[in-house]
Amino acid sequence: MSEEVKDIKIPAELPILPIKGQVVYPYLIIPLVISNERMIKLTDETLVGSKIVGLCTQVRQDTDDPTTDEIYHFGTAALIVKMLRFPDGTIRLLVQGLNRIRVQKFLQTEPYFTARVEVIREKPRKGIEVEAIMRNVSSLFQRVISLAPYLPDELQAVAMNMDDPNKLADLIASNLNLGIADKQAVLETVDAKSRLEKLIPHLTKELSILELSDKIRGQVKVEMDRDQRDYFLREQLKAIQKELGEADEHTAEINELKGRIAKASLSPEARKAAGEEVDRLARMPIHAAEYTVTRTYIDWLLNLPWNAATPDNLDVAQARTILDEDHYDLAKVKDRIVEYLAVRKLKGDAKGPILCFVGPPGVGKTSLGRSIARAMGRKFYRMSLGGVRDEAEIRGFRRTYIGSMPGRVIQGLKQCGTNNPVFMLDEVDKIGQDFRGDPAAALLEVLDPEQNFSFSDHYLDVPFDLSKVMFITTANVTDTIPSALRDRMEVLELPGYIDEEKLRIAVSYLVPRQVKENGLTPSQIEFKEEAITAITGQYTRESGVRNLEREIASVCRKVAKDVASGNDRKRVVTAALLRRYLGPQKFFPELAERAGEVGVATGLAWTPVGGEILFVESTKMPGKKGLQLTGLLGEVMKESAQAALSHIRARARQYKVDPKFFDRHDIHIHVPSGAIPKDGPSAGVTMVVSLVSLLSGRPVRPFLAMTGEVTLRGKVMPVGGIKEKVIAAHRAGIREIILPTQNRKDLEEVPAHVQKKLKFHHIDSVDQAVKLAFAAARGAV
Amino acid sequence: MATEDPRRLGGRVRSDLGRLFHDLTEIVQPVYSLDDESVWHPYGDIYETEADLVIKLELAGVSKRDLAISVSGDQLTVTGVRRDLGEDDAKRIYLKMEISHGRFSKEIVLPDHVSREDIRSVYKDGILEIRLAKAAKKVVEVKID
Repeated sequence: MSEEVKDIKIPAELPILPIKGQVVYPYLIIPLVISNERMIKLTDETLVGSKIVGLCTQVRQDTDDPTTDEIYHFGTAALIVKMLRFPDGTIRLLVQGLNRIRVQKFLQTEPYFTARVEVIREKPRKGIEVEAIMRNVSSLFQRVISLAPYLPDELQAVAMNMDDPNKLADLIASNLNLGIADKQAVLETVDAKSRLEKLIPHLTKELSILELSDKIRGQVKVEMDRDQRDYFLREQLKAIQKELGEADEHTAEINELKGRIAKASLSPEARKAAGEEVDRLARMPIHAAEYTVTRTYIDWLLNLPWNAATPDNLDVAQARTILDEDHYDLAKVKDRIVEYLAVRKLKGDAKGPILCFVGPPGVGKTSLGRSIARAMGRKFYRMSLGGVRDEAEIRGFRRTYIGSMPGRVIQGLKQCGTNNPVFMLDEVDKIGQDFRGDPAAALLEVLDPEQNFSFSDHYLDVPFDLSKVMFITTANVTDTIPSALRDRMEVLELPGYIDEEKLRIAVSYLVPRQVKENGLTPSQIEFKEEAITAITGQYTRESGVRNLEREIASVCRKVAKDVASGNDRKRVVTAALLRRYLGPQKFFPELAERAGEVGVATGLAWTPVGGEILFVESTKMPGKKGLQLTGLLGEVMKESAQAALSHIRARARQYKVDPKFFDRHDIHIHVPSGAIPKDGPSAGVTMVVSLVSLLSGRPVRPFLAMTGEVTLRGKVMPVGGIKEKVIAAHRAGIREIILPTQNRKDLEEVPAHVQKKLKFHHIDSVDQAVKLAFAAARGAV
Repeated sequence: MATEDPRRLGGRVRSDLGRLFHDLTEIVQPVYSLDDESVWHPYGDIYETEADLVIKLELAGVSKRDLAISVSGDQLTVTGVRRDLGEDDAKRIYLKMEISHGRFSKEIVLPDHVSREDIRSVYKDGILEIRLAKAAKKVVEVKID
């Protein structure tokens, strides 16, 4: 074989092909694309000859047509190994680097560059120093390869077997992410040792970047892996369900909801709303926050009793029986309910009246509501309005709020499961009001029969028909009920009970109930009537029967304790035994201690929890024309005291009083208890009598109480609350009562047996009262 | 001006080179050949007959004068050169240049059971055929004194 064949001879004059974005090292095989006319010509002509070109990298990468000054004058001679011409005229080349060359002189620039070049022969320099650097560089490069995702692992083997320092340096430089200038610098470094040294900082830098990004990737991957795992498992589950012919959880839920909507009895609006929401739900990912919100809303729509109703019991006689079973007396209220049922029976669609039970606590307003529900065969729901100050409690929260839900009215209906329950709104007089809106206004919409057939809850946003609901409200007083609300209600008064009524209630209802609730039987305990009367008189003071029942319960518990301890004999609860069960007497008759004092008269007062008796005390002391009024009296009451005083001064002689008393004395009127605010004109008569007693030195007859407003001229005007006052007087042991004549009609409300026990004096002017108060001579009483 | 083929930025990866042109699959050699610069490697078939191990290499266009076969130990080496096939046409423009030219080499590791001496070769119609006779293994007994 001839010498000429053995070595590829690089001509001293080479065509120079500028290349962009790449530095070619010897032994590097690289594909090139050529589209420039001049370079195509260069290629064509070279292929006919030596097939060797000089590759010089462009200094500037942004030009397609560099001048000789815009390319590096140090490059690589390369052999064109393969060539392919494309239909569009461009040429693709595969070239292999042969040797470093230095351009000595450009010989021509047109049509392409040619230059005289110096071929640089690299000496395979060996030595301990070079070996050491080689190992160092090689191990750095191995680590870079293992971390760099862009370098194939087989490169490790190639680098490992490389024992020529020149080739190793070129191999590494061509595989590192270096800038053009750096790559060119490596190319131009002819000495192998220097070339390797140049690579060390680049390798170190690349390594630290790779290590850092590897660490970051590791952290990110942990997070990603968890999410991906979840996602993957979920998708698998879907696929499995699909294979089994089951719908996935989401679709199953949507289908179930659609089924329920189809079956449910909804109003047309509700059906439309539910359908729209389900469509929205179907498009929502199951883990979206709003998914649950929408889901809950649909449940609400589906669970409301749009058309479910209980049939009414319209048997008037039976209803009356049930009402009587549950409650003693209350004839007026029971009549009203029976009337309502009768109307319902005759005319199917009677609009529910809104009854308002007004009375002191413990008279049975709430339990009466429950009893009505039972009598009519309807469900019962009770909602207390006491302290409700937010409109949203009635009308619901808009669905935009987190945790929003319908108002209490809708909640109550859902709980009942029917759209015609007896719906009791307790404590309507204690409804609050603040910046969150006026709940009373919202209640109007609920209660008004003209608009509640399309009550719109903020949460539901679909009208609901409340017209079949029978609303009953309760209150202790009517004064604090917002007037717009009061107008829409029919007020039924439940006045307090007198002792006889309490006794009947206790015997018929409270005792049997408490005996049963405490696990006793009638064979183990018996209440004597005298014991119950003693409880009402000595252990309770109230208009209702709540405390009475509590005391009875207390006795029952104590007996139950005995029975549970094994002592099974029957107990008979007598008045004498009460002290053992209930401790010392809690209340004493007020009258006893006050009888016969000069300057004290007994009046009657009305309070929200029933009637009370009160005392007007007056006293005089040396002084001059002073009048002091104490006992937390209101403006009206103070004025009424002043009027009383003026009246007496004007009629001093008639009342057998020293006309000049006011010149020598100061007067003080006090109304205990001092801590309870009092107001109103109805104590006028009492004040006059109290003052006359003081000034004339005569005590008022005992067991006499009085009420009535007094004018300056001495006329007596009618006052309110007669029934409660009379009952309170009776409870307190009063025997005679002085009343304004015009209040005579009010006595009709007073139970007959109370009337029988009391003597009533009806007066038109206050001097009649004074006569009655000091009529000791009549003596008979 | 020339740029690197953008689709082949992995040009530094030698296995990619083979895929560059559809018909250049033989270029799977390392980018940095350790033995020599710029050689190509002809295709070859190797098979055994009852008597011989036969090696056939595809070397069309190579002159017999430019061929050399040598055996050294277990390695049989064929080297040579394929001169430029277009040399006759001084004025030519290539549309395609696929045939490798210039120096080539082929190295074949020989199994133990073929003779290193009994080698025949024929070059005909562009195929070089080398036959190596199979030989029984020679066991050399070493006497212990």
